[in-house]
Amino acid sequence: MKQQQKQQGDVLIHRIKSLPSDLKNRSPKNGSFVLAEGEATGHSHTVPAIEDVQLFEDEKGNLYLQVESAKPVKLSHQEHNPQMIDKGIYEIGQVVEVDPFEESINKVQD
Amino acid sequence: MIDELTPDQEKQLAVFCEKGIETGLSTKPVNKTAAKKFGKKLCDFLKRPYKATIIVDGPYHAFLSTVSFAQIASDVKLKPRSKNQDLKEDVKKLVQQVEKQLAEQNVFDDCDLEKLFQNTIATIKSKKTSYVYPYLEGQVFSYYVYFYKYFRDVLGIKYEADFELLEDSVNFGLIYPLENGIVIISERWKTIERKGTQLHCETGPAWEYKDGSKGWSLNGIVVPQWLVETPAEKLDPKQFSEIENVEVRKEFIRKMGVEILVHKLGAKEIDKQGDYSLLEVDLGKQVGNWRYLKMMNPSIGAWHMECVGRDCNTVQEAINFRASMLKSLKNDWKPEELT
Repeated sequence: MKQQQKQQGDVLIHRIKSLPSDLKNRSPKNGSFVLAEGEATGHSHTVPAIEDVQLFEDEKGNLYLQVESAKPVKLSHQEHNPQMIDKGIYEIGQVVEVDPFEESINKVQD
Repeated sequence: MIDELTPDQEKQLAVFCEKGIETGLSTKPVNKTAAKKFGKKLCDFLKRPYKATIIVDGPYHAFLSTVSFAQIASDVKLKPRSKNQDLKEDVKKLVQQVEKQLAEQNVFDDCDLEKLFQNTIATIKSKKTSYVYPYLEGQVFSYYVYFYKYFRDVLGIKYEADFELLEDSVNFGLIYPLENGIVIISERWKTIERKGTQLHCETGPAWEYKDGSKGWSLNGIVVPQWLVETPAEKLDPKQFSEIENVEVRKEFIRKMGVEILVHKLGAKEIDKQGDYSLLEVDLGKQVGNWRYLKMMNPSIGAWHMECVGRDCNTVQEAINFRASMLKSLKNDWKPEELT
């Protein structure tokens, strides 16, 4: 059975059936697509920017990953164990937490 | 009418920003000649008879001097000097410093300064006066001055000549022009510690003046001395509850670590599921009760905690809350793989 949900640290990877409309291509950085970047540490969750892998974003900056290669691609991070992502379309999210002092909901960045 | 900035004008924004920060945090001693010239210019602008400029070592001395000299009318007849006044060493030093400067400028050479300052200290001690704010904030106002300087110097916007006074003021510490024509100017910082653009020092004062005035700051928040200088493991959660300022409370948490604080504050377990626990803790006045999800980081084997919505009653609800950024998620968030 195809895996539906994956999580590496604070990055959420959720399989979806199709890409939403009106997406723009996100460019790779140093040969990788960055799914999330830690502001303080400079660490990042990345997948290689190889043929058959594309990263998209919508107007609000929400990310979508499309893996078309038959071979799974590796999701890497400096502190977390790697994971393999199968062929498919995924919504990429980030874990959120509450700042109880500001009463705001913010993305967690590890 | 300017519709768009040129690339060079855009580049200059960062340059002016940096210059503003550099001036605001400068620890270079005040140029005495420039300070006197400025004092005279300021009195002219205020249409006051200029008498003298006194340069003191910091805000505390500026405050003492201002309260003291504010009592002297410009035409007052001054008494001869008194002796054996009971003044502390640092105030005696200040009096000598002020006396020397007044003598150099041929003003109030027979002023009973010791008595004047002693009276001021008594007034302060009896709480009959509180801190007097400066007329001009000097170097700490440089962010504002450099903002306007950019428009003038780069975009060619013309201001009234009075802007020059503000522009000059950033070369000094606090500035108090008194009605009797005395201008008190304090020195700039003696030391300043920062992390990026924020005042920050984890071992001692983040800023200090030559007169001994100092303050403590963490991540740009002014905090009490004990919060900086008490080791994290010796911080007492009782102190946390007593902190009135919410920003300071945040710094307490940052220093102690939320995981330790939540436990020390006597968190109540609401739900448990495997390695996960949902805890409720009282974060004190104005903030109230919040819920934290305690979990294990499977890659590094360390416990950590994150605050979740107040309406989360189970571990699963808290996990779903954390994944609520996913628009496509309709069911529970239960990843098959978690690293």
